[in-house]
Amino acid sequence: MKKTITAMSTATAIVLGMATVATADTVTIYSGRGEALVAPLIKQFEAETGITAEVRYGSTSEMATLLQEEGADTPADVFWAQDAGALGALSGQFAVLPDGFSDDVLEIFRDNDNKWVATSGRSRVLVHSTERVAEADLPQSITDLTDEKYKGRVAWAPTNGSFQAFVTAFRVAEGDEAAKAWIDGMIANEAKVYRNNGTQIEAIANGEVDYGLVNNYYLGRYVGANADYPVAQTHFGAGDIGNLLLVAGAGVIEVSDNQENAQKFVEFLLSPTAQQYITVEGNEYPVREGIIPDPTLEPLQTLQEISPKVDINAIGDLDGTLKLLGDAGLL
Amino acid sequence: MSLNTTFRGAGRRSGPSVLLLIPALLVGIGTCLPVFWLVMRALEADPAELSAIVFRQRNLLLMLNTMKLVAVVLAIGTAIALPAAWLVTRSDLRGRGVVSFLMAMPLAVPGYVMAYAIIGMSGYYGFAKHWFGITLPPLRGLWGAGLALSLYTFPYLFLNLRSAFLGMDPALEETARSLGQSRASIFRHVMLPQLWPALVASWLVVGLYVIGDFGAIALMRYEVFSYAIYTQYSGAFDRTYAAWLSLMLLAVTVAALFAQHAVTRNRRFSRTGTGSARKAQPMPLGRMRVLAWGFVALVVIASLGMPLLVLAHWMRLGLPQMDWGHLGQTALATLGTAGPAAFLTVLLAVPVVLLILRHPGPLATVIDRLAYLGYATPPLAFALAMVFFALQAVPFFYQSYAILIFAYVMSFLALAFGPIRMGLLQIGARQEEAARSLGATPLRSFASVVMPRLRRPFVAGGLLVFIMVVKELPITLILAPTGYTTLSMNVFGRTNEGMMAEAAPFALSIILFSSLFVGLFLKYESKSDRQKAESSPR
Amino acid sequence: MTDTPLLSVRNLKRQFGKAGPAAVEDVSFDLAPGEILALIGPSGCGKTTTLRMIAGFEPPDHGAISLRGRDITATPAEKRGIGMVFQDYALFPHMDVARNILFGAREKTPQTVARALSMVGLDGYGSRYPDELSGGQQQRIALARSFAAEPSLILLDEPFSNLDAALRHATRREIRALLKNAGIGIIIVTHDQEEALSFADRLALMRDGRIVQHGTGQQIYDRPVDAFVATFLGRTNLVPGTARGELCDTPLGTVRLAAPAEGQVTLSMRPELLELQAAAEAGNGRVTGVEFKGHDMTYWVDCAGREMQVDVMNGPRLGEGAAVDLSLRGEAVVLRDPA
Repeated sequence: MKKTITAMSTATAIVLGMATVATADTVTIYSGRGEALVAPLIKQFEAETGITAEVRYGSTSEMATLLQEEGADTPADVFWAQDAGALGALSGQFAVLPDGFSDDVLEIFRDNDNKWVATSGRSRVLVHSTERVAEADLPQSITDLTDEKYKGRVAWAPTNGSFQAFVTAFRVAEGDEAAKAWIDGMIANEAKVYRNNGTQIEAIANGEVDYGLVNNYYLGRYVGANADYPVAQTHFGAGDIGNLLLVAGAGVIEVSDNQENAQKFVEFLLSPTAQQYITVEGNEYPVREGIIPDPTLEPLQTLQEISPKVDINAIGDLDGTLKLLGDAGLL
Repeated sequence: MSLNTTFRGAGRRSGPSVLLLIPALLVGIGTCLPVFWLVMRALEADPAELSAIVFRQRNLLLMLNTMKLVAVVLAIGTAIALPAAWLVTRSDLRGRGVVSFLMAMPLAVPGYVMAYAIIGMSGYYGFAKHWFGITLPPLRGLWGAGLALSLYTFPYLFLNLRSAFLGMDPALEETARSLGQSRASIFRHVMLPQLWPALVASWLVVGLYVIGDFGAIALMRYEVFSYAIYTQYSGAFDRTYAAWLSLMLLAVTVAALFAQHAVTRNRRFSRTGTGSARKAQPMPLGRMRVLAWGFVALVVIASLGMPLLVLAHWMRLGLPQMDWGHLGQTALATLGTAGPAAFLTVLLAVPVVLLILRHPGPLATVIDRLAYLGYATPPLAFALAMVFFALQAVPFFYQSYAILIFAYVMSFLALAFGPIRMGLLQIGARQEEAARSLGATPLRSFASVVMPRLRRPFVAGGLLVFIMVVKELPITLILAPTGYTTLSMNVFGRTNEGMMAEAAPFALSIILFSSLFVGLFLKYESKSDRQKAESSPR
Repeated sequence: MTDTPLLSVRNLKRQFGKAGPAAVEDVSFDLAPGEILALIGPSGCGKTTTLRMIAGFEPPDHGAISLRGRDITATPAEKRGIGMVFQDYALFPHMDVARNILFGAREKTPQTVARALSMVGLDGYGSRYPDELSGGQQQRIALARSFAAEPSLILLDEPFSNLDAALRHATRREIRALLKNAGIGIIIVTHDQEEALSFADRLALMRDGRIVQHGTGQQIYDRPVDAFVATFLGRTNLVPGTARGELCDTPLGTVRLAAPAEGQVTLSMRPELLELQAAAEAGNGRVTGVEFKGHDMTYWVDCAGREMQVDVMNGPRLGEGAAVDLSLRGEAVVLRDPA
């Protein structure tokens, strides 16, 4: 027992003594994107630049909340977020990027205030069961889902950031009344609430529901593991709000005294190497030209044609959306 | 104040020594910080929107759902743990050691894995589909969440009840039998009253856990109060309203703490008899043996078999190029914080529990309740409060292991209280007094007479904390030094991206890793005081 | 006996909780070296609390304790040099007998263990563990452990209550001899009057936190101050009477008093001091019950509507219903209880 106590005390002392040691050439990244996807990219970045990257992984929301709490004392240099909602919430803490920084980024993916850059694009899609849904049953518009024939068959995830961004876009494009009517219609039609995108897809495979409203890059992972996975994805009719184009992105923290390395990292994310990696490994859309598209996805060109014309900069009113969802009893 | 009064039996007027007061104060401050922080954030609220958020009818519904869920989890958990604890302590069931191990093991299963397991039993990938070709709709909602939560929290009830059974003098049951009481009546009138404090204390711990859990509940699509808090933080990035909701949750906790205090007050459960308690004569199960084994098998299959199968299934889906070195490193890194955190937690728990037991009074009661409050504080709020205070008070320590471990200790302290309280009560104050009448100082009396016999509860409490830390997520995510990753962070990072196969080895490691310690603990626990004294170096 | 008592206890008071009566109130006594004092009384009378205050486990609210003239009221238990043997012995279960004995010993040598064990007649038990010992053996080890610490005073809290009757008598005699030889002071707490009378030199009888009477066993037995003492220590007959100086009129006729008194009084008459004679005619009593106990007999006699016990060694064998003459040999004791 005594030995154990001594050993444990020593271990404790060692651990407590180890504060984070900052070396000269580092960059500290808060990543709301998962380690499995990000870690190889980081390695590549370190190899290319000689900068040591300290990465803090977590969910986008937790990292955003952490950044808010840390405020001016944050040790972070860069925040890489999963969705534009978090980027918008933190825009006050981001530094304005130098002019021309986003020149390579496609017009549709740019932030007007130049506070953050999109690192990948993704599209809202409809996933459906291949067993219980016929081609003819597929809805042309997301508003069709309030029809009687979809009663109790549709999954959604009202707490999910991408879904909320979609609702905001809906409000911008068609007005608050229309958005509210659609949400009420969905509730009346017994849409089933899930936590996020992945659980909706699994619910379809499990036979709980037949349709789900998710981002485009989730299904690839299930189908990649099992080609017979009984779920497929599709878009609504051209221009439908349900086909909204969204982004993941990164920003440089304004209070960081390491602006140079931080910008280098964000630049790296926009580089062809990184973009190609995200496109293939993440099943997402690149934000620049000259990248070989993911073969499982519809070409970005097509996507741009069918996606609604909503400026990503206009969908910043998250509060209004949360109020709407809250009043409907979804939050 | 002097050392001399430290361990006095009932020294009312002479207060407790600084040796007990300083740890107690530390606990008081540590667990109050999040409440301060929550109040501070809450005061930033805009009154108009505030009333809309706080006085929503939906909150009532969520609170009601929370209560229902707590009731279901406690009912299922007790229905499993009570018979299991009886079987391994009072019956002649063979392999009681192994059964104990299997009953304690599910504690190591992370909540989201258990929830996945239950969902995975049916559905597309499910057992039913795989073996019988039918796709069953999975168990979700209240019963799904209740089952998932109870299947990995019942071991906590089991371990507490088991040690309560072990500490109970079998002579009482024998007396009752000689008085012509039926087994059922003995259970109701003799055993249950003695088990009651252990039962209520573990209900409290499990109940508070259920109130704060989010992982399993989210997967089970059952909307409870923690859901509302999570939504405020993650959906709305709104700390102010999340703070209000957290404070509402804490108000419920305080009510629960008062209730617990009321139902267990004035109950004495140290043995009044003399000498050492005998071992209970095992009760022959007879024809019930088959039933007992069936029960054990069912519980083991549900609580361990299912999650392991699901993990195996994920891994079979295609084990990617696993970086085994990384896995090993992560496991070591996890040990590096969970070990010290568990050790420091029990080390802190001993003086605090001593204060509570030996110096009962308002101070002791407040500190005791505060420890539970710390445990019940939503972990995300706890972690953010630590961020705030660390940056304000000790910026040098921010994102250091020190702050991370401090947060673990404060948030899991209550877990160590149960075993240590039970241990100290069963040892009683008499032996210490005997030592002092032989001329030993209070410290020496405690060190030579009480501490050696406290080893079992010490290890038990430490283990509970250790396992919780290994599974813990929000506090680790927020407070860990940048670049530090644990097994559970890896599981989370991968499942979050839908990479189940990649997550599986890490989840499996959590279970295997913890099971090593569970085994070690039970092996240790089964020895008597004497055997331990003999095997330890003199 | 020396001039300074070994232990001196003055006006001890202890109250648990704010309301209600004190557990111990105004308790004072002295103990000479080598003397054995028994604190006796019914359960809850405050005797154990008194003992714990002397040991140092319970702080007195008021009063002083001194050992060999030195005030120890505020001295911590371990510095008092007072040994205590608990009712449940409190042997350390994780230590063997030898380590138990050596725990408080001044000299930590094998000889100390051997000496302590031989003193209690348990030679060779050093390597046993407490749970391998019988109750009596545990009791004696607890005593040996206390001895080894060489205290000047040992406190015994109901030490024999867990032993069976036969073992209790033997152990008690052995231990008394042992303690007397060692010449240290003893305070024993018990509720067993016979134990107190046979074990102690002096007794202090407690009720409701106060010492009601103290003195030698014989003094208290022969001259109880009140009905409580008279009935707690032995059996007695409580008889009303009208006192006039040294004499008193009672249903038994006129009896002599141990001390003069006047007016209505309550008298104590021990059964063995009463005499029975077969009455020629009505007599002053009638036998209502006979209990044959071998070497003596107890008669239950109805005397003017009052039931009296009479112990008779040898005398006439009377049957139930016999008319008898009841008389007192020696003196009746006036109790301070109201008549």
